Amino acid sequence: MLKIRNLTKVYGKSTVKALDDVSLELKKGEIFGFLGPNGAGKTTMIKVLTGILPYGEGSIEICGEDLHKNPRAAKLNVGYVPDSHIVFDKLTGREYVDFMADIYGVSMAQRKERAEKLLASFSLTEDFDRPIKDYSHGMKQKICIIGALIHNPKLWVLDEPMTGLDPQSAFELKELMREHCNGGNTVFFSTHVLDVAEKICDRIGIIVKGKLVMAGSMQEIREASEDGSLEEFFLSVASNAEESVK
Amino acid sequence: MKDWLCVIKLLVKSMFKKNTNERKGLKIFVGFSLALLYAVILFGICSTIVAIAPALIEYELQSEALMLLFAVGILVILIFGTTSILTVLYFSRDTEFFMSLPVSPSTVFFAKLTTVYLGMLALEAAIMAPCLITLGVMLKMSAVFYIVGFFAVLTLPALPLMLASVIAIPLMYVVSLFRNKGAMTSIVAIIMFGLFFAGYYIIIMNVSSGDAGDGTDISAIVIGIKDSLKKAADILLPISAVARLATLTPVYGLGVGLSSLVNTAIYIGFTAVLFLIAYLLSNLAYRKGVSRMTEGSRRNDGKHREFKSSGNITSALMRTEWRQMVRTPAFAINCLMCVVILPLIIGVMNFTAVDMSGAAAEDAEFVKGMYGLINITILFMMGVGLNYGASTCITREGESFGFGKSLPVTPVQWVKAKRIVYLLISYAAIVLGCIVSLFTAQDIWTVIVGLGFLVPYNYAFVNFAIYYDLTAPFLKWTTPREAMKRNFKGMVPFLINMGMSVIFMFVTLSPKIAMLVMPEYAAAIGMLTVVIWGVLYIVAFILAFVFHRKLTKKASALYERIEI
Repeated sequence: MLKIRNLTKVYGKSTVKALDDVSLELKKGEIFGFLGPNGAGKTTMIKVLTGILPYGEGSIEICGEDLHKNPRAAKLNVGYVPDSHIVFDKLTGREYVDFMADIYGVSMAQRKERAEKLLASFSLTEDFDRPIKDYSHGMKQKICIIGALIHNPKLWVLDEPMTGLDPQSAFELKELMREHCNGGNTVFFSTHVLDVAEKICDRIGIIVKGKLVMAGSMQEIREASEDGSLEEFFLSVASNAEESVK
Repeated sequence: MKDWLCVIKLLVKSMFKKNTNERKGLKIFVGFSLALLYAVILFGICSTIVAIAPALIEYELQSEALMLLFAVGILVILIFGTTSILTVLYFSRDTEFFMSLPVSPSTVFFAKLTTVYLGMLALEAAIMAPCLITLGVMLKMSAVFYIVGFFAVLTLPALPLMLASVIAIPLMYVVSLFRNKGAMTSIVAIIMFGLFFAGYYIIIMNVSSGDAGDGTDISAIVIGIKDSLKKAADILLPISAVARLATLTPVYGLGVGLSSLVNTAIYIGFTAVLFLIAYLLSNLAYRKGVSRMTEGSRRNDGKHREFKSSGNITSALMRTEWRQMVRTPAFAINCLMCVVILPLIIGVMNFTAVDMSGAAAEDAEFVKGMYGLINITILFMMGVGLNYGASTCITREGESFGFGKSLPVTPVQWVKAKRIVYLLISYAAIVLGCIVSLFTAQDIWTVIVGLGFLVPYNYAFVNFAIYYDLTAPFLKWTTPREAMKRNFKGMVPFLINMGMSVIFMFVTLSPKIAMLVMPEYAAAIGMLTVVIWGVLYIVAFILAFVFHRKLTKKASALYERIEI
């Protein structure tokens, strides 16, 4: 589904590597949580694999399509929910979703069916025809999620998706992630909330100062951790990595 | 093509959606004022066309007149379109969003270019179409004139926009090398404004360098003008080609049919080459240019920097106000435009003024005085009125206004800092304009007397503009462009000032004209002039006092009333 090989990203003329030789493979039907301290490179990683930022060395393949050589084909398989909300907030929710569906070539019947289902699960049906600028923070996040899922992407990428969501919506989102994976798709998301990662992720990656210091299943992490918790494991891995970089 | 249409649809919807937060009364006032301004401008241009049409026919200057009309249209696009191109292509908040979609960068590039083109087309057509019809009717032109003329109106905005977008690509590379890109972009954009005006000035100088004799022989003047226009036609080749095509003017010794073919080839060829360059560059460089801008400055540059204290709260607030403004290109361009454009306009106008060296002393003195007053009126209208910084200083706070409220700063301190920043900017524009006027118009007394009036009047205006914005700021904007260009309320002080400047011009120019018409009453008219200026000074000082007091007294109440 997603193959990242020896990926390195350097900003401008900086000597610091924002991503340093990252290799990672995601399979069909798994939820992958991407963890790391502030400024570790999580958002950079997400922006690179969604094609927002160019990368220097390495390669990214999404569903067999090389992101560098064939960006359009690769991006057609991706649905992206950014950490900052949509910019076209003058549009209504429907207009925004229509645009996303047009760009990804979703038929009228499919967009109607998918949108209705998602709107109902997020309780957004009644606000669908209101301008997005009048939405609350959480509602903006929800419409963004609907826009990203309207073409049923094979790879769903989310940057800090739980921020601003009420408990009910956060629960719905987690259910949706699981449901999306059950349909043979993959979810890649970054988060600071270790509880969420622990509960819903099949595998977890930890990035520190641009280096992917660990990627493994929850079972592997529990076995490696002294008290079996992700929190303890994350803190020890992060501090060890910080020390070794110094 | 499908993607291109989708993106255009989205951008147009987003750009032209009505702002439901605007008050209806305000909309009507601004709409009416703009319509009035449009009518005045149009009346001025059309009546000039009507007045000079017989001479244009007599001296066979039809194609040159049309060329000048097109050149004015292109100049308008360059002035208003260049900043839009920079903002929409490179500094838009939607850049990352589009980069994540399965749409090629060149599709996004051309979709964005098309939306700017549509906006500019509306502006250009509103001015050009009535003028074109007036010119066609007065010059008794055939149907070809109207067909080609409207084709030109439709296509001409694309030329300067493509040119600007091509120039913008290397500029973005240069800007991306700097640490503080926002401030650097603002500076580059303002310099570009200056360069466009300088280019305009060079063309005008070239055009006006024809020998017009001593200013009294009409035929020598006409020959001089004709010579100048021919020179301009050589410089503005694609525009003159389409003008010659519309007027069926023969070129290069060819017949009308062949000339039309040649002119069509020149115009279409030039447009096609420019399109091709824009297309190739967008494919090659737009993606990289945008990426470099998107990357931002993520890490410290390694230089050791010290903390700096501002000394007191007002200085700290002033410093932040300045930085926020100058590091947001859309803000900086609008807020600092007056400082760059005003001296240039005054300089260009005075340099291209009628040469009165051969005229009688009293005529020369009269023209000099008139130019001096017109200079002061321009300073009044633009130096004072174009201070968008003051009229949007609360609005530009946006959603960070709420955070500002949490700071231990009194509203009066906050307003005072803003007042000082925008007074400094507008005084800089006025003083620079006066210096240029002194060196080019050489009417020292008018400039000194005018400056004496503008100092208190500008103080009053800045206080009024801040007060007016403070009464009901538009804080729920999402893009800086929205806060400036689509903020009707921000235009109200400008429009009021424009009305005041028209009154000022009428009041101050009347005695000058009266002196020319009735020289026997020179002493009485001289006295009247002194009285008029005296009254203007008193009014300016009263306004300054009233608005200073009003702003200071009401600041706290108005500030507390604002909710976000």
